[in-house]
Amino acid sequence: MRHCIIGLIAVLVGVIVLPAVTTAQDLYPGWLTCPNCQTNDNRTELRSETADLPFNPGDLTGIWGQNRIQLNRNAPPMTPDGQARYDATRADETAGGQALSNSKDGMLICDPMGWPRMFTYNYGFEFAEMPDRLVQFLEWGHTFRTIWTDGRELPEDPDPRWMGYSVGQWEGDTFVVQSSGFDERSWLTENRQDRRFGYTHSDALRTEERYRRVDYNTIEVTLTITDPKTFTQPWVTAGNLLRSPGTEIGEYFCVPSDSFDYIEQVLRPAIGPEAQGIDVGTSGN
Amino acid sequence: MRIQRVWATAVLVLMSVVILGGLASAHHGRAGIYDTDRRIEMDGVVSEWRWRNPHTYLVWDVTDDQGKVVGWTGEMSSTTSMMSEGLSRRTFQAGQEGTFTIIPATAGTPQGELIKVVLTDGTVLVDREPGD
Repeated sequence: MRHCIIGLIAVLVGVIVLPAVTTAQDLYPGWLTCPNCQTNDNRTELRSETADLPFNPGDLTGIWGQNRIQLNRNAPPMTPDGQARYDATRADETAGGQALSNSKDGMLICDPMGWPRMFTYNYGFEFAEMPDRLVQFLEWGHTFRTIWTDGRELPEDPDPRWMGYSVGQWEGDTFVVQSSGFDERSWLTENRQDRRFGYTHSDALRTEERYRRVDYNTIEVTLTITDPKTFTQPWVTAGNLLRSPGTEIGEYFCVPSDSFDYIEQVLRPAIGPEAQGIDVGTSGN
Repeated sequence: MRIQRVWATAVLVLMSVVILGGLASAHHGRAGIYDTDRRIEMDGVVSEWRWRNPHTYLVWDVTDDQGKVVGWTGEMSSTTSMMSEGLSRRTFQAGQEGTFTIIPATAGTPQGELIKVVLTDGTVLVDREPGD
């Protein structure tokens, strides 16, 4: 009798528990590779396989932008004050006149890049929707940005922040994000022509992004930078954010000790004896 | 004899500049630090693979005719960028022998941007365009 009861329990465990385990495995397939850990061929293939899937234009969730959009290189004319700040970012040079690329760029010592620099200098991000906000998780820097969608307005006199303050709302099938309240220490971008200069901004900086999902794997986006204390016209950049299917955001911290190791072991010796005792920074990503 | 050696060296350098000059990279991210008009190829043995950001780098030993060993350093791009090119932290192990091709440092130090690595058995571990 006792053996019968034990046998019955064993059968019940098998019937009830094992299917649940199987279901869990189906639901949770395990760790996915990060979008940047896929090879270029992997990404192209996955996008091709999913290109015709149905999509909801009002749903921006997912991992986007691994393809990286560069800021429009045609920067608008600068105001005198903006030009003076730009000139002051000029990289240090060796006694022989060799520019030490990016030497005054705070990013090189792992200062936060802030917004909107992270718009272009990012390794992809994930939009995660909550009832009152859209959260943007960025792989580079392992950081996030909150876009409030609860109807609030931008603050009148905010304490400056690296990522500023952001609110968003839908205008038809376009999600529009307004941001302000940025910390003046961040750059909009390094000058990618030769990396000797950086584009600065003032406390009057405002940004607007317009996101419109046009198919399963593509969001059309426009970024408009407005800063009348720095530029005489808005600075507009447009591009396509591509989705990275079958991935999860990876971890890319900017680690000061690793950056220091790179500077001392690679960059400074490569520049040569003239680099001894000079703040050389690093050369970027 | 010594003068002949100097002339031979000068001719070799000149030939390198003329022949390899056409391979100049369109990237200028490290302009000034690396001489993008030149390539140097050498045989060596891997001693360290630094899989770190902001840039990964490989160190290998090269032994010259007199038996002197010099450690060369070749940098590439970030870990995630290199993953996209199919590399990983397991790509290199100390002791691997092969041929290493770099864009050399302008300063003439034993360094460069690493663009190609072929092991002695013919396995190609790196074959890339210069990064930015």
